Amino acid sequence: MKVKVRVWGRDETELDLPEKPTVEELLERLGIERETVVVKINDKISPESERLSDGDKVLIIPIVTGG
Amino acid sequence: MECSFCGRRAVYERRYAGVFLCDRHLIKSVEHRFRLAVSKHELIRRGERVTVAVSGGKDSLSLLHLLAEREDSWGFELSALTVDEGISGYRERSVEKVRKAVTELGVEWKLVSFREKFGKTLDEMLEHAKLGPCTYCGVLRRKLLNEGAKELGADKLATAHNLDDEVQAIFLDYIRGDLQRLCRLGPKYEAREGFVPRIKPLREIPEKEMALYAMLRGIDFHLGSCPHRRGIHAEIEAFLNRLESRHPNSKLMILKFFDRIKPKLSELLPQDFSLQTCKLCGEPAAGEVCRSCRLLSDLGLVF
Repeated sequence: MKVKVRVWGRDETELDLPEKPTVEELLERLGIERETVVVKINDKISPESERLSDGDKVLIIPIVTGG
Repeated sequence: MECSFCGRRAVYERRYAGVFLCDRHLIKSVEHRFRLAVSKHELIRRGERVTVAVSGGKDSLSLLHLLAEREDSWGFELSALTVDEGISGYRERSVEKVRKAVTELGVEWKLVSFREKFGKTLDEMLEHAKLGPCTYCGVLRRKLLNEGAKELGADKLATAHNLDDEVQAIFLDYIRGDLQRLCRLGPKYEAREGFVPRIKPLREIPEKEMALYAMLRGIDFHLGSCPHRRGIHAEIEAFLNRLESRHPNSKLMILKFFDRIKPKLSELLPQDFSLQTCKLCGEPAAGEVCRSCRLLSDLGLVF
């Protein structure tokens, strides 16, 4: 299945993923710690245990800013 | 995923408590913990003047809203204070967010800058700096916050340190063996002469929950990363986030245990310690010259 992933401030990329991964599995694949981001699926803030579906749009918002 | 309390769509899994929260219950929970911290530690008393330090990020703008919405019912007077360190491409954007918020909320606001007070921006200081950026920024910002709060007539200076900030500070002071600074950490730091007492009402709330709170409440905050953040601060932060991901509740347990042993640690501090007055700026100092003036002297900015 394919999902569109954008990390806030960067360009969108399309990823080919195994069937119905969780947000947490996507973050692991991208090397992103779950504690450092808020994730929106199709514009809705979602828990990391939420499963992705084909065609979903994922926005990853880094929240650790310092200062 | 459904909210464990009402069955609405969940936005967050609070793994350390084994529950899912919807937008309403996340907001309710953060506000409950904020109120609990204020009442448990008696952070704000009726009739006091409270100045909140606001950078324009998620934590400080959320704290500004939380305080402004309770100013009348809790019977205190609120003002806001912002320090513009002069970090190009970063601080000017966040200052605009603060300007917008204080205007909308009708809160008295004071903006002070490194350039106006010290003659140079942080970026300019770093061109000749021997120490790391966080040292100059932290020490000089604390000085301006204290001075600014005094000018605003504050009885308390509220800062938006969250659980992550506080646990990082515990680790940093521990690694550096800085017992004085370590023992100053806590929900409130009582005044020594010349210092406005500091309070931290968000100290037990994780950074991620503060980010969700700000987003869900539609608070217009600056989302950006300080370009100078690197070195040991960033490494401790990354380590703690990895630890929390694999072992939920680690950060809160570290904080709670520190709070338990702090009274014993404080007994190790020298008891005859007394503050002097800095001979260069007149502010309180541990020696003849305060830390800020020593840093500024090294940069050739005070004589």
